[in-house]
Amino acid sequence: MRLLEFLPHAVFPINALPAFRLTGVGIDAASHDASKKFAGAASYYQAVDADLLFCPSDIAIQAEALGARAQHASDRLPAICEPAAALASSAQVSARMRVNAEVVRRLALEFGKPVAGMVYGPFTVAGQVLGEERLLRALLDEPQLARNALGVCLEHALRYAELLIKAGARVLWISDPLAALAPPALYPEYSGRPTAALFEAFPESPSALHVCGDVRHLLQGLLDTGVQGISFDNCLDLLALEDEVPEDVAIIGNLDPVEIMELASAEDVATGAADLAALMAHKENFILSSGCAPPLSTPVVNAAAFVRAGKETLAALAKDLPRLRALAQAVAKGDGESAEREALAGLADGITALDLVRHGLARSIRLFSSRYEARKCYLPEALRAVDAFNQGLAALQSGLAQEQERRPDVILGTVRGDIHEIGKNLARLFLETSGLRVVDLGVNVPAEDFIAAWREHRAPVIGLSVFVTSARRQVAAVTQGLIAAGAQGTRVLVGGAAMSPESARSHGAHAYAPDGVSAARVARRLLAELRSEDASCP
Amino acid sequence: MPVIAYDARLAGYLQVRRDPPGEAMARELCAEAEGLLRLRRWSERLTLSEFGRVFDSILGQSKDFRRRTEGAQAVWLFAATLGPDLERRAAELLREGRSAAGYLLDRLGSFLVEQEIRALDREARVVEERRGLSVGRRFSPGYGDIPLAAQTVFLERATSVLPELTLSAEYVMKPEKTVTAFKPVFAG
Repeated sequence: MRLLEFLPHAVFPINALPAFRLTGVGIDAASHDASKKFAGAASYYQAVDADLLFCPSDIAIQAEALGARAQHASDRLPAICEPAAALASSAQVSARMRVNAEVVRRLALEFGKPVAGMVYGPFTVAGQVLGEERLLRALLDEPQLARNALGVCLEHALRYAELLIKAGARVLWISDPLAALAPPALYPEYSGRPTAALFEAFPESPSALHVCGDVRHLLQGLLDTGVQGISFDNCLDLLALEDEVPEDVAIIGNLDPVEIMELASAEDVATGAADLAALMAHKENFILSSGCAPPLSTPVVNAAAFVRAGKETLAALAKDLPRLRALAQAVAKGDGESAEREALAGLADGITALDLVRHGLARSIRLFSSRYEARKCYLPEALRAVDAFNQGLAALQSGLAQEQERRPDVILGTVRGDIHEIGKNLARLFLETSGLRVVDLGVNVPAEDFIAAWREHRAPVIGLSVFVTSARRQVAAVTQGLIAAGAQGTRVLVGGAAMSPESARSHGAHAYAPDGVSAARVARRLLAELRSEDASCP
Repeated sequence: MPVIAYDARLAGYLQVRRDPPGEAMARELCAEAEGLLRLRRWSERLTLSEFGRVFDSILGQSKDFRRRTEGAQAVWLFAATLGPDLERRAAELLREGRSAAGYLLDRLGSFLVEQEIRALDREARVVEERRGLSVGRRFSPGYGDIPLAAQTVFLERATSVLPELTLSAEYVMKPEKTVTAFKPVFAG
């Protein structure tokens, strides 16, 4: 059975590192004691209703068994501190591996849910055994050394995978964090093929692969391993790459495991999970997960909130998804009439106007924004989608009247001395279609008018469009005027042909956006930063 | 005879997706633009002394201008405009919520006015080469530290050919689809 059939619409965080804190003993002790480790994992999964369970696994486990020296401590995860003195000629499973296998067995029995057999990829393990720098140099200078190391690491990984699968692991999960550093041309031979060999050895086990970091340049290589699901790092925009992943391969991801899952409040985790779930639920091959393993210190309530909010969102959207997909597709095609028709049909189906906008119309705008920023489409194509969005939106307008009452998010205008309108208008379009409320002051706007508008609306972001070089000094006039008016908390976002990140900074602006599409993304980021600052105020 | 040839080059400039709806929209806009163009262009060759007399008070402090014209014997002035109708229509389309069409028409305007300036550039090159002289790179007011106020001189001198041009208090030319430029002439 393939991964998507085995885990349809699943929600889970990767690994279960916070479970180490629930074992009642130090991490070093729990790593060697199946009962303690299981107790921690069981407590964790009693709180976190994940659809795929993991034995808490540390990255040192395989390399240590192959002779690399690992440091163990009560308050830190085991870590390799010294490469192996010599390459092992044969690879035996270690006592710690047997501990993990036992935890897998007991998790499967106790919870009756699928458990992942988490194995580190041969490339990553070879990097620990030889030293990462030595391995990467060897790829070019001593390929035979790299091949030998990978051969040993593969043989060992096969044994470990077999141990876990025999213990009851149903999904073969390969984590290969170092692989993102492999030169793209060499990835297939040194990381792709050993990974593929692991998947081929266990054809009955659904498979998943996680490589940390930006893997866009390796994506075809990852797919060529035959993997059934790719777990993407949170640094990647899933919308920008969803068209590159075949429909029978799961897109697994990718809430930020640190900034959100570890460090944010449970409410923010829930919001993040719900947003991501709603955004990606349009893809049948999406599985909601974290962008990497949430760290040891991640609050368990956050992991629980992630799963709960993700599941609730997916369940709530399930009934409406066909209509929302049709609406989003009409927008994506730039077909305004279909967008209007689908929007009205959605209302007739009982979907609220707000949900039709947020989960239907706006999804395509975010898709095009992501594709545009990834240089996968040009602006006219994105604007056709915007036009269709607006036609669909017009059909829903009466249902949205209440929504429009809220405070504006952005005050926008072209600065004094500049009458260029189109760039500012495009920024407005993308700001509005991304759900932000905009007050547009027009062109040739004096600094005093921006300040007066801020006094009236108290919008948290001021957007300045500047196309004429001589008008750049107006940015400083606005930023200084805002400070004088007591609006220190307001963020100034600038864009336009006369601006650059450097000139934005030197004129006192807080952020720069090269075009209207990115203006929406940057404005949303500024708003999120302001919200988190508000939340952290005592 | 249409002024606008919708070909691969223009499609590339417009960044139109090569699918039937995208192509249809672009062709339709090109056809509409034909009726909106009020193409005018003007050029004048000034010797260095003439040039100094009319521009010195404005350009005297500009290092970028000096750098671009050092050793020049003469300077050409160019101005080209599409007139106000095309940009008015583009703004109208944007207001109507037809942003793709509005944006494409605006971009088409930029393409066309640049074509006009390039034509002036080519003509000047031919004239100078016949004289055994060479030309430098074209540049516009607003480039580097060259003040936009230089456009006042263009406006005054071109007024008989381009009567509909106006300048804002900040020296921004209206219609917006207007380009002014300098082109220095050097010894061959």
